[in-house]
Amino acid sequence: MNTDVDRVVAHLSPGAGPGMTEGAHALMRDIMAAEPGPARAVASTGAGAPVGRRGRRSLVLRAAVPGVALLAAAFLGLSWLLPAGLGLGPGTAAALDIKKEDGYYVIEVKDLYAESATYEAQLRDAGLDVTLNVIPSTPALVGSVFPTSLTEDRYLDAIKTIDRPGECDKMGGCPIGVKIPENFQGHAEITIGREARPGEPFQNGTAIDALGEPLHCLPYIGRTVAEVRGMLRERGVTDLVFDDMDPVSGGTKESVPDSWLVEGGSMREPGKASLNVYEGSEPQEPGGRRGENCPTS
Amino acid sequence: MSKQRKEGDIGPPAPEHRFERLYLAHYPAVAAYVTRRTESTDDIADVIAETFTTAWRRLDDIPQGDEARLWLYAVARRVLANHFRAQERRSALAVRLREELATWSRPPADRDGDATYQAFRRLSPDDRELLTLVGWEGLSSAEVARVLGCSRGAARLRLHRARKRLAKELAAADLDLTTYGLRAVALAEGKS
Repeated sequence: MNTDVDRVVAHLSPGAGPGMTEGAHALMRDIMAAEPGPARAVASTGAGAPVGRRGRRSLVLRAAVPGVALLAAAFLGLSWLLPAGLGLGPGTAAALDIKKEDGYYVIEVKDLYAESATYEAQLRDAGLDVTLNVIPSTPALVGSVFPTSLTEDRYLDAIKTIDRPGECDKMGGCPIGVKIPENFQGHAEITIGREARPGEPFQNGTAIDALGEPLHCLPYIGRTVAEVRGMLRERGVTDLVFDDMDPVSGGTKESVPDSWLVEGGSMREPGKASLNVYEGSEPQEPGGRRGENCPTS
Repeated sequence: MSKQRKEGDIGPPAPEHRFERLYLAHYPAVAAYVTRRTESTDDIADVIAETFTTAWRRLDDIPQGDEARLWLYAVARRVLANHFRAQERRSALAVRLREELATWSRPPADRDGDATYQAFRRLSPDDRELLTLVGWEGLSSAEVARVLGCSRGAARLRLHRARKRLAKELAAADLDLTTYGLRAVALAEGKS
């Protein structure tokens, strides 16, 4: 060993910096707001960080990640009417119903399965510079509305949703419409969650125990895979994939031992869940994210 | 906002989750690597941001386990080299990190008197890089080889020479090598 010379060098080491700070966490979120993978690959040490215009899918992810607080913010403003049932199929004359009322455009989505271009054309004809995406979403986010500005990279408080009066079992509220001020300037991109067709992957989702999701109010974190599999089966979720959280051997797996422990999960498509799992030494005290709306008993 | 999970949080899909694990596991080491080799706090933030942005883009290329840390060091090393060739670049990311670092007062390094530091500074950049990967990051010669992309044998040999040159510089500066131990004395005298 050459520890003596190495010790001299070690002695010269400048400070390591402040470590994992809030700014470091913020950077992580910023980086993940961009799409990963080869599609975005450029020379690894070449151009600066990817910024600016983001793809629609990544915009949705970005909207989704911060969770409840962001949803609450997104739901503050505008009025765009969604059909109460959200179940209208294709074939109606127009994809949207756009009216002017009290200084607002009030927009109702008649066909939730139309192409974005169809919506956009109709909105443009009405004089609105708005992109509308209706994407398959987990139950908690069906009916959710994210109004954002793609060019300015921010949420649009001016665009307001109207919630259905009364009880609501969705974490972001139960919007029945969206209002856009007639004098609204600039481009808006509005993402609305709809139900997924069988086998259609969710493009937007949330934790599996969030309000409206299958394991809401059920302590499942720290339970074994076998236990959680049973809990999900009782609720009609029979297809599982696993995300092994081990940093060495981790990744997506079709099966893991029943004795492994669950530390999180989300719905992938109707009837199919993904569970974050690890090989724990012993079962933990079962926990979960207890919602405000859980029974107190 | 911390990543503490709470009601309504998103269950991230696999790439997000893997990246988050990687980031949380290795950010301190990578940030320290960059910070130790960079003077300006703006540069520190930029290099960290670019290193991890590269990791995010190339998530599938990153090896598993502790190899990931070496992979990140290698990326950070390349980003640093490029960064100083294109100083004007500023990442639009890391705004918050840059603000934090601007107010962070760097503790003065204990350089054990200027003479030792000056002896170290007289080494070639290559020698300094080898020695600091061992002395600051605590890497073995095999790990140094992974970061530098050379063979283990080459890393071992180059490291040996670098150590020997530093020992000689220290001796030439009339520093009491016995402070650092007999091994340094032996190196300086060519007995190793």
